[in-house]
Amino acid sequence: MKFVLFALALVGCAAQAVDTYSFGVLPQRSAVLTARYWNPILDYAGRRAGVRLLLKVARTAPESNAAIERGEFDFVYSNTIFRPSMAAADYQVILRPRDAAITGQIVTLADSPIRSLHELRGREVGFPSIAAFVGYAVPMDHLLHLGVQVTPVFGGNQEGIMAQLKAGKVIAAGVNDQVMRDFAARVGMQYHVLWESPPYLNLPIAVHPRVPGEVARAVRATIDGMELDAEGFKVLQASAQVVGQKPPYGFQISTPADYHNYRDFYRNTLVKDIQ
Amino acid sequence: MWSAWNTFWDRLPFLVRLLVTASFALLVAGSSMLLLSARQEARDAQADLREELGHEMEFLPLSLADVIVIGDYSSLQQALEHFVARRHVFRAEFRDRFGTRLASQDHPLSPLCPAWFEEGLGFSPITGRTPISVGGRDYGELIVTMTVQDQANRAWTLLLRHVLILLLALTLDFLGIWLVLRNGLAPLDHLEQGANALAKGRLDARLAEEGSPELRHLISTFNRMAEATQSAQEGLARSNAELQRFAEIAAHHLQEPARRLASYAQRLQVLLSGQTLDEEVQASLNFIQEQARRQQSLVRDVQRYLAAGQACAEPGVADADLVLRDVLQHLRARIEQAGAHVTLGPLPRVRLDPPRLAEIFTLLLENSLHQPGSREIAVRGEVRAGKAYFQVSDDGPGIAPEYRERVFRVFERLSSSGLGTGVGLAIVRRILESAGGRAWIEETPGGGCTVNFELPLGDNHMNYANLAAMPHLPAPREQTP
Repeated sequence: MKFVLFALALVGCAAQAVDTYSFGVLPQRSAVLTARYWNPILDYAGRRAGVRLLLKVARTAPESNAAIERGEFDFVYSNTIFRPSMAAADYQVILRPRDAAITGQIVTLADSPIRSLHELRGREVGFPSIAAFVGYAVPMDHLLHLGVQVTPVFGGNQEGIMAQLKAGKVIAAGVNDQVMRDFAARVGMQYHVLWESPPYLNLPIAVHPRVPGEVARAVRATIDGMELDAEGFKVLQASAQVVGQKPPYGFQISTPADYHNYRDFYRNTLVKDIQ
Repeated sequence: MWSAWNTFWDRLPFLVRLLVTASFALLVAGSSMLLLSARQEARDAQADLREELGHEMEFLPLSLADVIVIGDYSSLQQALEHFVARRHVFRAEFRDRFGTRLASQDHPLSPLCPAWFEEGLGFSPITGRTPISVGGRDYGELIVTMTVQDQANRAWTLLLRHVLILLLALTLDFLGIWLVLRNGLAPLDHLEQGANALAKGRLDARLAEEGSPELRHLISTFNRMAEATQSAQEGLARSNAELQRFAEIAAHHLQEPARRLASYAQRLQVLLSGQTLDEEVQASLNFIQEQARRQQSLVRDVQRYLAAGQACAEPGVADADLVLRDVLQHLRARIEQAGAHVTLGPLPRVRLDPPRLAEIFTLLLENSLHQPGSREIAVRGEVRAGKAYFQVSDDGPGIAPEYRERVFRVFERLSSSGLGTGVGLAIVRRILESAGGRAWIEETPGGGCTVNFELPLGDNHMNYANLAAMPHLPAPREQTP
């Protein structure tokens, strides 16, 4: 009788055991804001998919990219996976945001005297980090193609350099247009766009090949269907409010082919110090 | 225990009682105030600490959230170490949901106060906990312990200072009361001296009115009392002197007719001795002689009684042994005639002139010799309660209790047919009372009468000369007056 009870207990424990998968997020904002945005989503998705998704945030984008390059995360939310250096990790895109594509911008404060990119020659320009795509690589590539040499100054992450721009510590900044817009709306900041890149799809959610297929599919399906689920929609809405994001919320199913322009950029860019 | 305390308290001088009471009251009040003040300070410190802790627990998680979310425990450890350097923070630690614990090094302040002070007044560290939850995910718990050690140290230092001030106040209070009372009550010493002077008979003692109004009033009242007493005493003395003088004069004038009456009665007896007289005439003649002699004795005894209250010699110390030897020599014939046996013991020295001491012994021994059947007479003495105590005992018929006080009155006799005028014991008592003594009668164990008397002791009061029983005294011859 004791053996039967012991066996049942083991089965029960086994039934209650949930696999945990790390979900790495590119640090575009402070870790707390990132956690406030992503933890509810990951909690919902994990419960629905039958797994536990554990948020992982690095201090800086370079640290995050280094972890991605090492394949530390099971799932990632980052657009740096398309770099040639990341190819070995072989992350595969499964979801993309429903919102519009993002662009890289070079912006100044609305009352800044700087009105053209050429006026930036020889001056310091702020960028999120050396690992940022639309925030650094795309605008810097354009400046190099224009022959405008600038001294890059890095703010750690997207909102970090935006805060420096707002404080006047930098005269211009390379940014992600959506993050810029959301930040400006949240903090009440007026800015002027000197230049804007062609659109690039926003950061995808990708999965490492080691993750079992059924898990990846379950997570993909759950996150894809969040907008149509009452609870899921509430979660998306609440998270959007944390960062000042505008609708549409949520993610839709995507494939690596949707992000071909990232790979094209990396093949032709003049920026050599992308990390 | 309460009665023992009452007895102890009653024996304390007024000044000591006042000092003890005032000091005790000041000590109790002061100590209560200090302790209540320290207790309140502890409560305030705890309240402030709680408020500060609440403030820290509100903002610290926000400042550490980034590091916790990232999971950079190295930076988190540094942040905790940096945080614990803040005032009042003793320890800061973080525990994640998997049991990992990061803690700062404890930042204790050196305690200056004893543990009982901290515990008794409630200076205790407080701990606050707050969960770290971001976006609905529980990252762990932040625990902060704060200490009020510096405030406890400060409160202790302050308490010690206040205790010193309290002790200073007690000392000043002590000195102040002592000085005020010592000076203020000095007139009471003079009052005591004045009362002692009055007690010793110096009725002219008067005091200078000094001191507080209450004492001046008291001294004034004392002076009026002394004046009234002196006036009454002088009046009484004058009255007594007049009475004494009248009695002496009366006795002197009565003595002469009594002596002549006795003399002429005897002369008539001689003149009629050769004739045969009628029995009645003879009896009458005998009666006249007898009554004349009795009258003489009465007048003489009245004179002796009047003289008994005054010293016959220089006031001083009498050696009772020597005095008694003389008395026994004089009474030898009477003792032999009565077939009596006198037993003596060592006798103390007394403060009385020897002639009057001799008269006391003479009268008491004569009294005992007069008692029918009295053969064994004992004279003893000792020092008792600071006085010289004597006993003259006989084995005669004794005196009934109801008469033992009456016999000390003038002319009181137990039997009209007995010898004596009934003035002897009155004379004894008068002598004794004039010298500060007293007399009383008890029954001799086994039957008989014991006359006890007391007198003030003389210097070197006990004389242990060998005056043991003298059983071989020859019977004295009776002396005819």
